[in-house]
Amino acid sequence: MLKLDQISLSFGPRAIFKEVSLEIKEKSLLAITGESGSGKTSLLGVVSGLLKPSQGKVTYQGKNIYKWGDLRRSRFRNKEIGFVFQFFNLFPQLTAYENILYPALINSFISSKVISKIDYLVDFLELRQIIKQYPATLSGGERQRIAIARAVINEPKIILADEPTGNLDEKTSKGIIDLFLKLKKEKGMTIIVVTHEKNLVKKSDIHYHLEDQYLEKKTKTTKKRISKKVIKDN
Amino acid sequence: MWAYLINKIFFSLKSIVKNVSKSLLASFGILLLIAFIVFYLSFRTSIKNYVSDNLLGSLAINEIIISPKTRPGKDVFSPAVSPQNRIRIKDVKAIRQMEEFSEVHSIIRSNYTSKLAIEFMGKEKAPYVPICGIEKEFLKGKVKNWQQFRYSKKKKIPLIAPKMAIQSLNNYTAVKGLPQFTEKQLIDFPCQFLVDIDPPNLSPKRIKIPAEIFAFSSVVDFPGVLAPTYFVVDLANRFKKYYDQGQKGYSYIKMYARVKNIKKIPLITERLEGMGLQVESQSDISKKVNKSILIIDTVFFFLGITILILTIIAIFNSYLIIVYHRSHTFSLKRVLGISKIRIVSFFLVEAALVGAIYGFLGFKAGNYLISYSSDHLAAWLPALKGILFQTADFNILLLAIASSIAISVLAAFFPALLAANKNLFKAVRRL
Repeated sequence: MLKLDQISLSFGPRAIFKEVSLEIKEKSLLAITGESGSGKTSLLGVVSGLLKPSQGKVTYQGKNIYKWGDLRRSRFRNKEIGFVFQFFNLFPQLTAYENILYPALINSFISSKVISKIDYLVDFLELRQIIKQYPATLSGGERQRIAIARAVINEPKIILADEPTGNLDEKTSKGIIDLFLKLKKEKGMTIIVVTHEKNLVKKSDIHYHLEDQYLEKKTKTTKKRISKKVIKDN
Repeated sequence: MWAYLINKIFFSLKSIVKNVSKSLLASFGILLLIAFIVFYLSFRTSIKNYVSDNLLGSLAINEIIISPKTRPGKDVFSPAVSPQNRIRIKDVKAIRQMEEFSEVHSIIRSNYTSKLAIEFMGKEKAPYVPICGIEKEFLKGKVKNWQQFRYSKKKKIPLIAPKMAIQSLNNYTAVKGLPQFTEKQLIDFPCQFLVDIDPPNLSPKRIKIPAEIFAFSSVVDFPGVLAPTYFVVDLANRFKKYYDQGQKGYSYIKMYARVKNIKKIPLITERLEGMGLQVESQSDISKKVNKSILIIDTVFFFLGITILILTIIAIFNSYLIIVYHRSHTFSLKRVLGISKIRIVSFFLVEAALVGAIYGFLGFKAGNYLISYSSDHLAAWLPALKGILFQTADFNILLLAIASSIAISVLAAFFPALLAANKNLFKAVRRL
């Protein structure tokens, strides 16, 4: 579905990562780990069409996304990708309901389906009690569930999550991880997560580690070693 | 579907209202600029109308005014008129015989020192005023009841005063705290000519001649009063015996001629100038008026350009700050799938809305300024008393709104591009 082919990224003389190649299949949960500043978030930027790589190509369903114009790439981000961030990034002036609705209003024609989709998501993510509230009045976990609802409102094929549990306590983090697994299982979404969270890494289908500018795929045997390294980092 | 539509409209409105209210504070300079433009346009129109009504209005396109070339300090209306500042008799005759003219009228001026005494609120004022004579036929179509403008020894002398006299009188009443007078109230107002004669070898004499105001008119715009020609001639004849036989008691100071073919005005002008005279025609006055307006335009242009540049810089800076403050929102919107062109469009629509609001408010402020000036300017500058300042009309409102939108959009364009081209990678990391 999404393929990175010999991707390199550098800012001026500083190389962020080199010759990264990976293929992301549908309905999978992919975890990317690495030390702070190793380029994990940049990799998400490249995948989503936000950050043009210095070399290599990113193809989505066989088409190089960086050959598209801004309009098409924006539509691609809106329709095919959902974003979840560590600090939620909700619009503070909009209610929870409006925040969820926002991506659906960007490139859609008027449709009553959107309203029923929101209704479904509100129940699915247990947001009924807080739907009319503004983000400032919500807890971290509630905000992240709103952010996830916003990410999935357009039923994208891929969810990109940048340390989605990084700002949450252990119990809330577990709830968010379960939610991702539920989305993968029930909605058939592909989820790419940049994380330091060991439980999330454990539950992922594929685990990549970014170190010294290179991306390394971790097998089940090497995963233990990596996990230890992650624990040590934390 | 309706709920969805209402949501979409509500969203847009909520976003626009919030952002526009912030931008309004940032773009306050537009209001001042538009108010200045509206004030200037109204001021310019008022001045132009005033000049046009008072100078051009008295002269038809086929009429010319012929007068002697006045030397500095030797005006034809000064109490002691210089013999050089008059049209010579032979020139008067030559002009009357010119075939190019269908009609010729002359203004003569009494050579005796004269005053016009007016008793007003128990006080008599008697300023020096030259007495001039004009044929009543000249007034046809220019002054109401022109047929009644005739000389009779048994009646008070009718006189036509320049319109500026009303302004001078009202300036005087304003200073004294007295009520203002309208033109209508002053018609038939009694007054008296005081003519001083100082014949050689005889003691000086003062003759008092009753008169009354017949009309106020800008048809002949000079600092004197007009009486029927026969009165001035008769006055000269009455005193002729005291003076040398060869000296007339009056002088030709201006001539009005109607030209048969207006295309010949330049040639006629050349010929008359060759006779040592000067000629004014509508085109000539227009040129002078346009020169004056050009001076006003130039001053206001440079002032306007300065304010415009300062306003654009101020708005530009304000929008840059707005972009900086809203960079998080712009980046988030881009990440969620809004294209660059939509970010630019949103920003420019906001700027246009701000421009439209300030265009309207600036128009109102400019009109208020012009109304305020109309009420107070004469108190500061009495010379402007007669100018009727007109408030700007609907066309100026449209112009104000259009200019304001253009200025706001122009100032916001570069910041809008910046907003659309925020480094999304950095934004995502910061988000």
